[in-house]
Amino acid sequence: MKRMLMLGLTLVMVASLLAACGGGNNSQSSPANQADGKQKKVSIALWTLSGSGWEWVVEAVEQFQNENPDIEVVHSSYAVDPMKENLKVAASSKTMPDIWFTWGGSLGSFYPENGLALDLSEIAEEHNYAEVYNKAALDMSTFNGKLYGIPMRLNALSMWYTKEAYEATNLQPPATFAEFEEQLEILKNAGYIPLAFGSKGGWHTMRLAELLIEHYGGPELHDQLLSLSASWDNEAVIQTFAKLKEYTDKEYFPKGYVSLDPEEAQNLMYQKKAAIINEGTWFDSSIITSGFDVNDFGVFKFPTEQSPVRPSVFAEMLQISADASPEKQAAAIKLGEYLTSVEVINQFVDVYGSPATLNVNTSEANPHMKEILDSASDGAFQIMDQALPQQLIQKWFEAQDRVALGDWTPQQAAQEMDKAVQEYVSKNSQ
Amino acid sequence: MFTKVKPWLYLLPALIIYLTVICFPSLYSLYLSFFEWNGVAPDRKFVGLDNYVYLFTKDTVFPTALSNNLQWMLGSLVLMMGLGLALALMLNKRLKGRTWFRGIFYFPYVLSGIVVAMVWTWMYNPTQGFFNKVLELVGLESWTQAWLAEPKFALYAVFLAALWQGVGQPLVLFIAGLSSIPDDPYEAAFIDGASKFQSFYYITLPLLRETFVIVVATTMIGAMKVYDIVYAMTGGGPAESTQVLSSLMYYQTFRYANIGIGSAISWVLVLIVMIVLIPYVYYTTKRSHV
Amino acid sequence: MELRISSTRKVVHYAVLIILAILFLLPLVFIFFTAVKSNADLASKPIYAFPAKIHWENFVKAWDQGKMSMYMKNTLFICLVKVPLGILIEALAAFALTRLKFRWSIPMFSFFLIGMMIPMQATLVPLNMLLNAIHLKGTYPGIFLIYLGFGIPFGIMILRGFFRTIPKELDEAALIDGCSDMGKFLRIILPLSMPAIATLIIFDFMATWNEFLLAQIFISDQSMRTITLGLLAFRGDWSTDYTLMSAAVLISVLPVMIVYLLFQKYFVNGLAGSVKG
Repeated sequence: MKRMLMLGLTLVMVASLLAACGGGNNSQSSPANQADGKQKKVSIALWTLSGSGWEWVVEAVEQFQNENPDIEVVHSSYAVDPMKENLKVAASSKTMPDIWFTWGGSLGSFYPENGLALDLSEIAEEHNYAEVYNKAALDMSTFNGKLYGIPMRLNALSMWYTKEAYEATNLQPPATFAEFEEQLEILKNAGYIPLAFGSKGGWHTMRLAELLIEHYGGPELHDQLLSLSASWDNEAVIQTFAKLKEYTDKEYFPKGYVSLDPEEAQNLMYQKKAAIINEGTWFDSSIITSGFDVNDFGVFKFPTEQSPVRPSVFAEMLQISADASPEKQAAAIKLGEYLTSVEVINQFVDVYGSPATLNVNTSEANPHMKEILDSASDGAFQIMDQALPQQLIQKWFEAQDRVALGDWTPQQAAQEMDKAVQEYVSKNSQ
Repeated sequence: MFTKVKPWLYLLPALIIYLTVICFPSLYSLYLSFFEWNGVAPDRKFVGLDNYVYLFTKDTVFPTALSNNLQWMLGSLVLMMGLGLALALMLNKRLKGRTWFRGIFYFPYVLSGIVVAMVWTWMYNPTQGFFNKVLELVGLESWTQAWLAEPKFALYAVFLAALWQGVGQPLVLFIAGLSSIPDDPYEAAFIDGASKFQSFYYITLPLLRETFVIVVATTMIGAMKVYDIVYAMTGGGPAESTQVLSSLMYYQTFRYANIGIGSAISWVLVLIVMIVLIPYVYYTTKRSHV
Repeated sequence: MELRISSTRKVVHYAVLIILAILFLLPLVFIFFTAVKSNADLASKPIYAFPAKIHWENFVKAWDQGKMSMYMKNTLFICLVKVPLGILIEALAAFALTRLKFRWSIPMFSFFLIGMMIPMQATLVPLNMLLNAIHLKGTYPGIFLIYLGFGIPFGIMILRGFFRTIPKELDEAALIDGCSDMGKFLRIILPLSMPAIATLIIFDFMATWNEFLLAQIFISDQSMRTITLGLLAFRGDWSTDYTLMSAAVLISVLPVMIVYLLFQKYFVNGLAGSVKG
């Protein structure tokens, strides 16, 4: 009798575990999912970035659900680096959300290359994407000749300065590289942090570095470097590293910038403690959503002294899961097209950044966006962390830090980069 | 017959979960460490021990991470355990307010690594943080540092935060150990005219031997597994100087999708912990016969 | 234990302890100061300055903007299921290892102890694949399973250590009273083991509440995020607002503090058994 009790208890416990296992399919336990309505709803998971500049997505998703009562959107958002990591985690267990935000280039190509993202080429044909989205954005969402993303934003980068610092020091935006460097010194002496960059994560300072490469190496060499067809152990790269070191030693960067969060660097700009930053077409809306006045800031092209003067550009897109059911895919495409539709963009135009969609209104509140986009019309290069394979860009981040900290000389850093590139090339050509 | 099966029935739930969550996955990751794989592609390439060879001969960050873990272990054994023991001895006396003191020293251990990281990152903030402001206050402005941005200091700065957090653990274990020592040997020693140091050295330490074993073991495992505080404070930077095996494993696996290399790192971790701990397990179970 | 302490020694002793205690409390005071200041106050005056005015509303703001209620609820839910269930499972196993006639008792115990040597990191990728294969990825049952698994070695060690200190004579008495093994477990061993169970409750609650690595990998749905993930997301989105961040940190710490205070008197006694090997 007592034995039976014991046996029973053990069985109950094992059973409860097994039951827990079986409950997997119906246990989408998020509260949002419990609102099963009268009709059968399609529930899709959406991942986007979070933080300033992305608040509008929440509202847009809300509207989408109201307009499409049969679709339910479970929206999760992440900051930049967690986004990259969480997508990879999801990829490794094949549990991608149904629709996710990603960048172009080597960051976004991982998912198509591994069969995780849906080929949208046919949809693009049917829905006439060529007339809806910017051609460059479509190209940058295309991998191996197939379209794998709904283009969301096409961003160009630029130098931004605070008018306050420039007025206080009686300066005009620099026209030559020499002038740019003079201004750094003047701004420094006037008590400003000349260059607001934060190297945590690596990519912020990289934006300055790639402009230096463009300046020293010229467009042709720069493109060859990015396509791994030129040696990284060359003069332009060494000079770039040397400049980063020089600026570090002259304290042009914020104190402790090697481990500073890029958002904190932005904050130094908002507070007018710093003078110059490199940000993109989205920065107008970041300034607005952080509660500051865009008219306090100006933009200038980095004087690369090359022709054309090229800024860096990158695309952002929404990819759809290849493994999701057809209903979910259809709903996800609908949501993706909605979030990039003319009406939604016009509604949120002040905070949307630079849309990849054609024929949308321009924002009065984003006075600098057009100027930056125009600067890319003569030519542009793809931003380094999307042009290079991820292992190599990590090497670059490490090299940047090590040079700044004096661990490596610029020559050493260039050699290390070159070594990593050669290893990568030989490994992938096997 | 049934009595033979019965113990297994009691063990069954724990055993099933244990096998599913710990045993099978860790062996499987040993298997994965012999492959080159991005975690998604259908084909895995068998590379034998190449991943391990790569880590020890080519990877530039792995040696740093390994050495950081070993330094961390040494620091924990000397400082964390030392401070824990010292505090336990001080609190073991019939002391007014000892519960309060114990609570204060133990309290940080209750916090998550993430919370500790957030608190201390703010303390180390180069412009507004506590350390630099205090240095400025006492006129040592030249000593101010971007603590987490200097490879020279970053690891130690993180370790200091971890020390603050972790001292509670050896402290409680030592207090528990001390409280099980009876009074008589001390009384005898006192009558024999032994000095305080002598009675500590000849009575307390030997009787604490078993406590030491468990404290050393937990401290070492803790040091090898350290992750969240590093991840949240520095993310392994600057220039990978604060990378530890766990964080490196995380980045290799989940940022660069090098599953094979990530698994190899985790097995290096397992092997180190095993070398350190097998004597401990042997000791504990051997004593259990008594 | 100490027979005589001279009064100067006593003063020095206290002084050292008090200074150390103050050092240990500093970060906490500092984070509290930050949490109740206004941003302007924080920027204009050094951090150790007293707040010009106490801004309690920072806590309310952090609670709302940081979605703290959702994160706390999720984490509490996981704790409330995981902790009791885990202790029951571990206690059953420890009971078999100490109280039943079991030839494999020692090898099995060693086998469980080995689990303490396996760093979680070594299991992540296969666990991720496994959970996906059995359709538990991103679900609460999946999370419970994993958290239970990692708690088992430590729980068994603590409980086994304590069970062994309970005199065997009690078993015999129980046998005479006609108790079965299960009855012995439920009516004698468990009630007598309250100190060890209390210790485990604290440890387990803390470990679960504070867990980060597993949560980071196995919870992707925002609405299921635990408090550590939530705090980190909060930092990502509000990295420049130190007042709100500090307030959020303080809020997040409250539940563990409460559990610790409730059970702390059992603490030392509960550990004694396992410290003695």
